[in-house]
Amino acid sequence: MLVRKYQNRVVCIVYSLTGSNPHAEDIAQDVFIKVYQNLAGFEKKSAFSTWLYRITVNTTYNHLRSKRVHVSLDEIDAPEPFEKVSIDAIESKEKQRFVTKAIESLPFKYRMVVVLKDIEGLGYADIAKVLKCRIGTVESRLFRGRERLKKILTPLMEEGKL
Amino acid sequence: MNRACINKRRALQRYADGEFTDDSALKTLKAHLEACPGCSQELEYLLRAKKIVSSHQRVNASPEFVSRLLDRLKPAPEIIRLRWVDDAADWSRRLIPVPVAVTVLVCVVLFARLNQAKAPDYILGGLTRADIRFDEVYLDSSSVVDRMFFGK
Repeated sequence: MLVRKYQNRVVCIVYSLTGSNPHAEDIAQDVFIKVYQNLAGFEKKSAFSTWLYRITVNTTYNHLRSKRVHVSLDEIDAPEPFEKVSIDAIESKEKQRFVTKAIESLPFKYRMVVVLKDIEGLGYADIAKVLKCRIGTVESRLFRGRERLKKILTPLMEEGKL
Repeated sequence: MNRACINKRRALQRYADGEFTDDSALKTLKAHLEACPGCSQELEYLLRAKKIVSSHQRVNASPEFVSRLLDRLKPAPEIIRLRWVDDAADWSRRLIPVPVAVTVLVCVVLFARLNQAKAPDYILGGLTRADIRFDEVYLDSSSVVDRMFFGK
């Protein structure tokens, strides 16, 4: 089943693109609903995964644009369930938070190439197919995105937070 | 960082991403990296940053993901509709103007009938309706104008 095969990848991309949005799963479900509704129109000119990634990126973008990510105050302030965690786990969580915030601070066009390249591990050619642009465009967006990330991450690296 | 290094930065990124296909360019870049500490440092940063970003927590879908999706994909239950109820509703919508028109007409008739009723004495100044001949009571507009403007 296609959903079982790709659900984690889609959720992960949406989660990374939206900056840990609690509604990431709902958006991922919207993606699969769109896939289900348009499966007959899939022309097989590209790989299914490429098509799926394209729908994922577009759906996430539309969601961010329309909703401007409404998060209720309850969701922000909700205390996390108490559990015994080690210092390492806390540090790791803190690191994740820094990275998430750094990625989230990027403009969407840079964020999507960084996520598809560095988190999903796609090649330049695959990203170009997903985004329907030239490889050179992917390369330059990635370059600019990483330049921005560098400005955020370098001080954190120097402080030893990462 | 000199001009040559700035030109090499895109190549450095391609190298860090494992996207280099041109062998001769790769050799040139490697030679440059051995000679240039600035670019080596830049490559080191790139690789480290890539590692940090790629180690970003991978979130998996919840166990209920598929069942929730299937629920959302289920077609909405069809509402059983009775044809005669729909027809009756349709006719009632069409016939709404008729009772409204009848009500308005009845109101007009009633209003007219009420106005025909005998007026009280304090309005008629003690006269009966039969005493008043409306055709005799009129205002001569020309005489009023004469009085106002010419003092006649």
